Amino acid sequence: MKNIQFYENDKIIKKGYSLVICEKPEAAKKIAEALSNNTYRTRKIMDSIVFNLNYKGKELIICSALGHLYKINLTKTQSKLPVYNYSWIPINKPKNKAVIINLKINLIKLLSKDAKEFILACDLDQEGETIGYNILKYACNEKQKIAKRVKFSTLTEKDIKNAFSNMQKHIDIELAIAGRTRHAIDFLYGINISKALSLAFMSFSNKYKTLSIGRVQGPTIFYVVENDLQIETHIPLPFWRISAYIETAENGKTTWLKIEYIKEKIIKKIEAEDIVKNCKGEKAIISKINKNNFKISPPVPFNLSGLQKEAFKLYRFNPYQTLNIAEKLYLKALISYPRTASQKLPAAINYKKIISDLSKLPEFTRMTNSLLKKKRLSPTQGKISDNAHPAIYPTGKITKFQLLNTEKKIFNLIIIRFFKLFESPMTGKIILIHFNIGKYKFLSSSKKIKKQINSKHNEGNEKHLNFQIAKKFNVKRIKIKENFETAPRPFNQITLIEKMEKENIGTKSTRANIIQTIIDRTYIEGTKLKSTPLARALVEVLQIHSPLILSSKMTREMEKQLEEVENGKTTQEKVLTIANKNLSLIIKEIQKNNKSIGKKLFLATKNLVIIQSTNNSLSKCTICKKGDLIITSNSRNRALICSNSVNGSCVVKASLPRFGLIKIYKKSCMTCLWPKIKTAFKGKPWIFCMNPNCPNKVKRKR
Amino acid sequence: MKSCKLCNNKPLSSSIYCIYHEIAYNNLKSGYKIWTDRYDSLDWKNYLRKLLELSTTGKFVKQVIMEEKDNCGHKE
Repeated sequence: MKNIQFYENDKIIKKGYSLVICEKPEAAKKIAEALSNNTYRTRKIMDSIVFNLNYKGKELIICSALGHLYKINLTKTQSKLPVYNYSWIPINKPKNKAVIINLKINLIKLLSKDAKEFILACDLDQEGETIGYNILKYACNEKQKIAKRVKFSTLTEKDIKNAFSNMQKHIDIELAIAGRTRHAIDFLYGINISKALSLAFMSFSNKYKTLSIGRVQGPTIFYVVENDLQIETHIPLPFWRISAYIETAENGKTTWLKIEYIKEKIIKKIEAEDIVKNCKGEKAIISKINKNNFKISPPVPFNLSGLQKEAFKLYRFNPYQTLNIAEKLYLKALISYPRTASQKLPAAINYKKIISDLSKLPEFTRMTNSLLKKKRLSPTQGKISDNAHPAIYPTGKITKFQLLNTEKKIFNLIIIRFFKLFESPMTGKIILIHFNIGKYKFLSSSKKIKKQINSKHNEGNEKHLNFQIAKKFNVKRIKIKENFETAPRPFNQITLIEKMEKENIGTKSTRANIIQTIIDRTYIEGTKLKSTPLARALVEVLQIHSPLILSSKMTREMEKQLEEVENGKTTQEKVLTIANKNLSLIIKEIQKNNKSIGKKLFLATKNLVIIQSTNNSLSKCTICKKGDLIITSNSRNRALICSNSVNGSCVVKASLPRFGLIKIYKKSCMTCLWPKIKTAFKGKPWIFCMNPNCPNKVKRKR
Repeated sequence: MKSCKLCNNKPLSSSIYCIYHEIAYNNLKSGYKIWTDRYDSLDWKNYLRKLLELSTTGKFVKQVIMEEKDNCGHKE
């Protein structure tokens, strides 16, 4: 490889520059802009833009990666499971990505040769540190120990300059090692367990099917299956509530006021009937009036999961989508780094400047004006903190370019939440009036919000203020209402993330991706997440033969150990030894029960086809007359099959054109009786027999 | 190969139902005890009828009810 020297306008730049490595090209550009006041020079080398500038007398060359450039792979392929030997290699799949990644690696290798200083400017979290560590180790030839680190939470000029002025002498090696360990464990678990399950499937059916499952995926699938089972086997139990209507007079008008029996659930019908019987003819007498003040604080700053929840609630954006949009906004320097758990905003970010910068946006002028009038700006703070980053906030920067509709929605959501933090808390009064009807206690409550921002909380009325103790009222009506206990709610993507958070499995950045993966692998489906027969069978089988994979406990303990690696309390080797021990137990159990696991999974995939066929049947099969014709597909191909072809009782199974709407033609093939397909080819209708061996086709070929 | 009376899954060795429908059947039986206690008295058929009318009754429970409805085999 030729040693290219970096030069501009035929002027060779002195050797011994500082090489700044960023995670993404957009970040590299922002850093170059910030440090050079837009006077940077660029050069395209190996299809990548490299930035060159002078900062405080230092020659800087800024290059970028494309997220991860290296991945884990098996050192050598072996058929015997489990496999433990792995190494980091450049990403080599898919092919088009591999070409770009290779160019990136070669470029960094080249630039690292004449560099005298290495500065890591990747995202400030475990993934960013791991990406940087790998580049420094493999592409820059073991420079991870001497590389410096710049830390920033936004890509604004102020933050970037500040980060370069207060550069850290070393990168966080322990954080990077923890990241590498996490990758290694996830890889070893994924590859070994998935392969063991696929082999079990094959041992029974002689067919190969990819059945993937991972360390965090296992417990996540288990939560959905367990919840579904509770819903589907739910018996609603009855209970009763009693309410009475009393006659009140206000400004000469008589109205009825509803009061509730103090016990919210009466679990015997006879008890409820007795109460109603004994209350008849009695008057309602006020025995006690309680007035309490309460305070509703403004919402807390957004962390990633808070933002994901709100975006789902308002716009039905799934968490994965929200994270992607937020990352784009971060790379445009519009918001701070979104992969954060923090709900705290430090004063150093200068609230007033951000608000006054945002006042240039016409839609927020009214809000910003009222906030800027305040003498003191102090935001509400949440409980959770994150050492690396503050909560998500707008940087105050306004883009010249138009944002996409989805980006604008998320950006506005972050801005509005930021403004809300400075609002004063709402105060209100809650009034509880206790009544006696005979010997039974009833209650009426009302809420009054003084600062009427949210009309929903303003349901109360002031009628109660005129009530006095011992005042009597006529009871106009008393009634029993029969209720039934409800089943648990099905998970949606947000509630599933909440469950994962509660169980402490996965990380804030990986949870959305894991859910997306298990949806893509057909373990769960729908907006209200429902487990498929495959997921159920998997859980059923693993519960019997290898419950460790489904256990949150094992995953949680591993997360704890990874945290210890991060804090330097334990080593990567120790954690990997424990993980490998667990893995070996799991694999042994699967191998021991190979046939029964394979059988169960095979039957489940068969059921999946039957369910698909009842849901998406195009028409009845013309050959066996019993099965349903359905379209099955993967990411590349699609095929039309008869649902009976799965158990071998029908032969109808043929590939379909990759694109275009498929319909079953009203008449079947006259020669072979197979169904005919109607689709369109280059805008023209195209009807053909789907039998690949139809005598007509064979004849035509000849 | 034998399968559960209500689906394609394998039945439990001691039952005509698979694990899911067996859980539903057991819940149905234990639920009856609670229902009779709460209503003071309620016959099995009325119990099943009421459960079928409720939207929150589980899908597997409803399938078991349809099977057991004509079956007066409940000896509670």
